[in-house]
Amino acid sequence: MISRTKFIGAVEIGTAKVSVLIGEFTQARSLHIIGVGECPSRGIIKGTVVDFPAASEATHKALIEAERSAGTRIDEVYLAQTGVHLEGFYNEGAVNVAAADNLVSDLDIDNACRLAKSKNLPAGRMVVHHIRRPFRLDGRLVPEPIHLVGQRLEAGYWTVHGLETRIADNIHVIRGFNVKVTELILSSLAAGAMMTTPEDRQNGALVLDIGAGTTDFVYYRDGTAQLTGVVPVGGGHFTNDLGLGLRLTEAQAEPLKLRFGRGTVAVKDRSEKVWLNGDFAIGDRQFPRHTIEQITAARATELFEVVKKKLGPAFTPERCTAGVSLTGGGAKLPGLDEAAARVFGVPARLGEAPGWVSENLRDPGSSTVLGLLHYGLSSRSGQTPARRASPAAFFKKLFAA
Amino acid sequence: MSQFIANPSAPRSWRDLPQPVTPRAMSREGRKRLVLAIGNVVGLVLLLGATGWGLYEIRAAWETNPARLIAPADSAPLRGLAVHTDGVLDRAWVETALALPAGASLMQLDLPQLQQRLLAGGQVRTAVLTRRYPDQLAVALQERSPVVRLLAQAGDGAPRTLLAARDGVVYSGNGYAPEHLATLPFLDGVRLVPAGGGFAPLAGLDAVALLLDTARDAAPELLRGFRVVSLARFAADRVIVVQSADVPEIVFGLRDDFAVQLAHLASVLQRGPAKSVNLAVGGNQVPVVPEDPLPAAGRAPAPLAAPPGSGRVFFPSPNPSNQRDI
Repeated sequence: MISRTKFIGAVEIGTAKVSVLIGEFTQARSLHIIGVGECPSRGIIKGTVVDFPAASEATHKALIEAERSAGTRIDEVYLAQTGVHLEGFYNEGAVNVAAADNLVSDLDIDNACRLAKSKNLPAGRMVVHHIRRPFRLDGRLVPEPIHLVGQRLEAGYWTVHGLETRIADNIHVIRGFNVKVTELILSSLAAGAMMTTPEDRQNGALVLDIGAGTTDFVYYRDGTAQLTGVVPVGGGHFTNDLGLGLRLTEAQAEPLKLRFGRGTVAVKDRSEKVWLNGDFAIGDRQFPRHTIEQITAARATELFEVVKKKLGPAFTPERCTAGVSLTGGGAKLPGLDEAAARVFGVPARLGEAPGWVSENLRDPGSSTVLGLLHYGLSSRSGQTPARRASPAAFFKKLFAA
Repeated sequence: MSQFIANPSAPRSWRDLPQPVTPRAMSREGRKRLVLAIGNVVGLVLLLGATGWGLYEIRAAWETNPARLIAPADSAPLRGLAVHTDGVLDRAWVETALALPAGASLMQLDLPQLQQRLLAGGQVRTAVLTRRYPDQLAVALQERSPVVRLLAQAGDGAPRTLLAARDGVVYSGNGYAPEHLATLPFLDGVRLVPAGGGFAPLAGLDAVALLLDTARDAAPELLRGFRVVSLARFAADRVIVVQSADVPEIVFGLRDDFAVQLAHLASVLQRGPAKSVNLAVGGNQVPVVPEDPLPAAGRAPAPLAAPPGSGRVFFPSPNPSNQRDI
C-alpha cells in the first residue's frame, strides 16, 4: 500500500483569537500534531465575520505561523463553526421493514435515514451537521439494525443548520489563503470529542465551551450528541459586566477579571479590597473583592441558566451522570465548576484533555482546535478506508499547492 | 423485497457552497500560493509537452529513417587520443597496442576490448578508457615497475630478457632506459609456466622487491653488487639466495627484517671477503664461509667487529666446518 500523508490545518476563528493546528495524517489512521499558530482575532464578533479583510489578515497570519512551525504547507482545512445563527432541530423518519422475513436490509436503513434528513429548511439556511441518534427498531434502541428482525425502523437526526451567508463568510476567509475547507465542524462537537469519553457520552454528559463571545454546548446521551447550541454569552461579557459595574474600561476590567473574578462568591469579608493595578500609580484604585466576585458569579449563573433553558426538558440530572465538562478560554475562571454544578444539579469539572495531548496544548482554550483534528480523524476513519492516491487526487493536490 | 423510496428533497448542505475564489479576494499569501500552484501546473504541462514532442520526434524518425536515430553517434569520428601514464610507455606504444581501425567513430569503439589489448602485455597494471565527446579517447594507464630481469629461452630460440614486477607478473618491457635495466639483478631458480599469451605470475617476487627496496635505501653500495637473485630455495626454506660481485652466496631469510640482515652483511664484509654468508639463521648467528682458509694454529685470531649497535665482540669459532659465528 502506498504511504499517503496529508497535512490538515484545524482552524478556529474565535472572537478573541484565531488558533491553528497542523496535523499530519498518515494513512488516515494516525495523527501527529506538527505545527501551531495563534493570532489575536480581529473583525470577528460573537464568532461571526463582520470585517472580512481584518478577519482574513488575522487568520492568514495564524496559518502562516503554523505552516512555518510545521515546515510544510497545509493541504486542506477543518474549520470550526460557531455563531448564534446556528440552530438545531430533531427529525425522524420511519419505514416498514420491506423483507417478508422482517430482516432489516441496507436499503431499509438508507430509506429511513433519507426520510429523517429530508426536512426542508427556511430560505437562506443550510445544514452544517446531521447527527444521527440510535435507531429504533419496533421501539427498542439499536445502534446498528442491519440483519436484525423487526417490523418498523425509525431513524432520528439532530440537524444543525445556520445562515448561508455567515457560513460562506467563514469559508471564504480560508479560501482567501487558497486552501480548501474539507470539513466544517461545530465547535461544540469538536470540544466535546476531546472532553468526553465514549462512556461519558453513553451515560450522559454536557460539555460547555466558553469562548470570548459565545458559549457552545453539546449534550450527549446514549452515545451520541442529542442537542447542540450556541449562547451569545462568553468570557467577554464577564469583562463587560465588570466594566459597567465598576466603571472601568475593557482593558482595565480584563486583568481584574483574570485576577479576582470567580464563578461563585467565596469572599466572606465584604471589606476586603483589591487594587486595580497594584502599582500605586495615578489612576490606581481599590475595589471590594466581594463586589467583583458578585458581578462575575451573577453572570456565570445567568450563563448556565440560559444554557439550561435552551436544553429544555431533554436535559435532566438523572440522564447526565457523567456531569458537566467546562472548556474554552472562559472556563479558566475559578469557581465556575461550582456554579455549573449548582445550576445543573450534576457534578461539574474543568475538562481535561486526554493524556496523549502534549503539555503546551492542554490549555482549555485549545480544546476546540484539538478536537477538530480528533473529530475529523475519527469521522474520516469511520467513513472511508485508506485508499491508494488516485491520479485525480494528485492533480487536486497540485492545484492546491 | 425491499423497495426504494424516491429521494425526498434534501436540504442544502454547506458542502454545496462553491469554494472557488478570485485572486482579488485572496490575501498576498493566498495569491503567492496560487502563483505557485499555477507554476506547478505550467511546469507539468511543459514537461508533458516536451516528453510528448520528444516521443513524437523519435517515432517520426523511426518510421521515416531509422538510421537517423543512431546517426549522432556515428557522426563523430575519432580524432584525438589523450594518453596519461605514470610509467614509461608513450603514445606510440598505446596507438600500436590499441590498433584502432582507421576512421572509427568514438561510439563504435569497443572499450572493454581495447582495455584488454592494453593489459595483454603485462606492463600495464590498470587501463581506464574514457570517451571524451565529441571525438577524443582518453587513456589513463598505471604501469608495473620491474624488480628483476630474467632470461628465458623457449626451445632452441635465442634467450630473451624479460622483466618481473613486484606482483610476480612477467613481461617483456617496453620503453625502459637500458641503463636502468642494467641495474636490475637477474632472477634465477624459477620456472616460467606459460599461461594465456604470457606466463603465470611468479611467487616470492614481493619478498625480493622488499629486499631490493630495503637495500636501495639502507645499503646502496651492497645492492650495486647484487648480480643474481635466486628463488630456488624460496618455497622449501623460505630464503632468498643472492649472488653478488663480492660474495658468491648470500642467504637472506624472511624471518628477520632485511635491514638488520643487510647490516650484518655489511659487518661481515668489513672483516674480509667471504664465500658464503648465511643471514637466514636468525638472531645474531651469522654462519660465514671465508674465502681464504682458516688462520694457522697458534695464531691468535683477530676479533671481529660487532654488528652495529650490538655492543658485543665476536670471535671466530674453531669448528671443523670452517664456519664462524658472529
